[in-house]
Amino acid sequence: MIAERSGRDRASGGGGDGAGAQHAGHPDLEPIQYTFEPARVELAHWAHQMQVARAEMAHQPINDPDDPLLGTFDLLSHADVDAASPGARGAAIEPIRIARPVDHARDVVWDRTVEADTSIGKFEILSTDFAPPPREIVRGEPVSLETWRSWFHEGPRLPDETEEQACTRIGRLRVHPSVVREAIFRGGLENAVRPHAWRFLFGIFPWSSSVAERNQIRADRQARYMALKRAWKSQLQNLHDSASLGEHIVKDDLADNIMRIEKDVVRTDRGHPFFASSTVRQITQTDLQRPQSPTQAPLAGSSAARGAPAARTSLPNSGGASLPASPRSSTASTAPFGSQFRLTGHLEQLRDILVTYSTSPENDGLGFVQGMADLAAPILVVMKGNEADTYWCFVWMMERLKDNFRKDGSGMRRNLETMETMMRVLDPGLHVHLKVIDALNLFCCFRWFLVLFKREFEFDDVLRIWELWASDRYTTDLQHFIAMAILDEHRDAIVRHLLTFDEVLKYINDLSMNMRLDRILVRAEQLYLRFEGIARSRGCISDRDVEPFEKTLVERLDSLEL
Amino acid sequence: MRGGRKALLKVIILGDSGVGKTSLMNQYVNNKFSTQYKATIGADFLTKEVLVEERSVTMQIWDTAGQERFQSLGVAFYRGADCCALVYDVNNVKSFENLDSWRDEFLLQANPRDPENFPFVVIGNKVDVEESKRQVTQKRAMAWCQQKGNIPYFETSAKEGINVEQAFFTIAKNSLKQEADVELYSDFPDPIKIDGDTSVAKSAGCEC
Repeated sequence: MIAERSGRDRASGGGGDGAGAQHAGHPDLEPIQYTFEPARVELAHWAHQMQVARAEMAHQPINDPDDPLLGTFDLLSHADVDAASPGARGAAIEPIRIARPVDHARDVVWDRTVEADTSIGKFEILSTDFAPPPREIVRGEPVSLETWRSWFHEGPRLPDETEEQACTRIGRLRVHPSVVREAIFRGGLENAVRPHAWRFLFGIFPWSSSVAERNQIRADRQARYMALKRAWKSQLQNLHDSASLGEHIVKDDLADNIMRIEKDVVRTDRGHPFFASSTVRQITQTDLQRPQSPTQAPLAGSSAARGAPAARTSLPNSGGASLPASPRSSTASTAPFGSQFRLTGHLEQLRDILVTYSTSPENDGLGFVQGMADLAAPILVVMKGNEADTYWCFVWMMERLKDNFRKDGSGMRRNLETMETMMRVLDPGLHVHLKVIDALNLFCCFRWFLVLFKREFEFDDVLRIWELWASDRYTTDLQHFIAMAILDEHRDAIVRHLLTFDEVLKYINDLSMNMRLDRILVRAEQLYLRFEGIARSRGCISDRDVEPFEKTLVERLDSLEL
Repeated sequence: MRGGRKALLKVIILGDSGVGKTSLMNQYVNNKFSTQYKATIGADFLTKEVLVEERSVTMQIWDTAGQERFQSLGVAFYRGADCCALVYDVNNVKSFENLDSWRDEFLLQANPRDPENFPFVVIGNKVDVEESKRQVTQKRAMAWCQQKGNIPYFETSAKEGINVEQAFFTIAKNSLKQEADVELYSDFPDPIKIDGDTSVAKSAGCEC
């Protein structure tokens, strides 16, 4: 490993940054293919921890602005979260003061000669945009019930009702929605406000709605959800032995979807107290939870009836088409045809929401795709088990994210390409490094985008990210900036130590549940502001454009010579 | 190739969602089983140092999402694989029937030099579940393996740790053989004996 490393340093002209083209100044030297080295991943993690520790130790006043290492060349590099901020998960976020440069040792992207290897030859990047130092970002407190209510006209109050109950009857919004969006973006929401605010954020209620309109909307949505749900349930019931082959196929599709949904429902957020009282009972073979003992199986008549149809579907069946369930047994069933598990409580609700979505017109023929359960479960938790409202929030979310779930991978590819463009603009050094080591496909970010950081942070942090994302302050694509912020946070470790695609993937996957959201949110906002600044300075957006810009921003930047 | 034979063996685990790919990997690498696994999103891998035929090698075991939806990413992950473990659930016939497409998909995406002789291993998992729930007989599975060019077959329980070690040992051995074969082309002296597939035939039996 050491030999490799020194060889590389020689090859890259001693650039400790490692981001330079490998054979700068040595045109004869072949590019070296590195093999995965677990030790480098360990080293990178260790180096990052050291960097954080060093930064946190450096309690010093703001440095000399004339310091050539700072300011103009700065990505965001020297900014760091004030070490004094508690940053406790789930706790109220103290305002965090940023832009105090602390880490001199950190590599600065811009102060070295970086080479860009492009299809038409190699270029030395002499300079990128001169950007002002990162703006000071102040994170705020989560929005409280009191604050939330103060934004709305008072609704009819009932005697002895709690703040929270009163929230369901508040009148029209009396401030501009941008005030609400800004506050939510700045500090997120307190737990008690979430069920109310998410119904606005996730598209059920228009910001301008009155209480009467909201009641109407809820009733309509509830009815529509129930109708959709009834439709697939009765589809399963109404098929008899005489059903046509076509009906069998439709039903097989549905059964297949149900089977796949249940497989994931029983392994989604099971550690969360919300799902603790829900039970899973196997009614056929697959054993994910506990093997059923023969004496346990046919307990009550009802459970035997529930078990019957499912057991029949899973018999070895070379013909492909499953036998339809008998109408009698499936009518009483909470475990529909195709089920492997008998689910109760919130797990059953989650299953029904996902099955309903997989059969709905909004689904666009995607069916169920893994990752959807991760997106639906937290909403159900926030909505306290209100199935219909969860469903519609989920539909709204999927409208934004469903391209990521397409079979041909087109949506996800576009997402990752957008990331790549952004990186080229915001951090060319990192971009070149990832290109040299063949990791520019950014598959390391795949999971982040598919389930919107659900697997990267603790549950409460995920809720926070989602509400900021839905607040649409600045951008409707906050996920790209959060992703860039995570990469930025770790860019030195990546650039200095990681030499293969696998190492980057491993390093990034290892970050799961091990990141400080407060730091990342601050960086994400700074990155957005910097990105917008660059776009303005290059004429990609003008004052005539209105927020949010991001849709055209990436496109326009991409078309410009960088 | 730099520095002679590489000591990294890349193994890809494929199979339907929920057959136990993550569990197998974790049982093998960490000797742990949990009922709290989540559906794998994208891909991840674990590494383990093993001693095979007196050589110390690093096995890099890739665990991929079981839903076919993610296979468009396959190329990046399958590239350079030395062995592929096809996993199904012995209590779920569909997962067995899908082995064909997993194998085809792998060969298509990984595009190995010698697809005819690329080392696969088939693993029938979850044999700890009671016998009455079993949907795929050992005989049927072995017939399939034989038909596909004598693929070694193992029946395992990731939950109970049954046969997992043995399955991965064969994976390591055959990966190494693949490595050796590849290197024969590049004129490397090869101290590793390449025998006929007798070991493969022997390992095809399952004791459980």
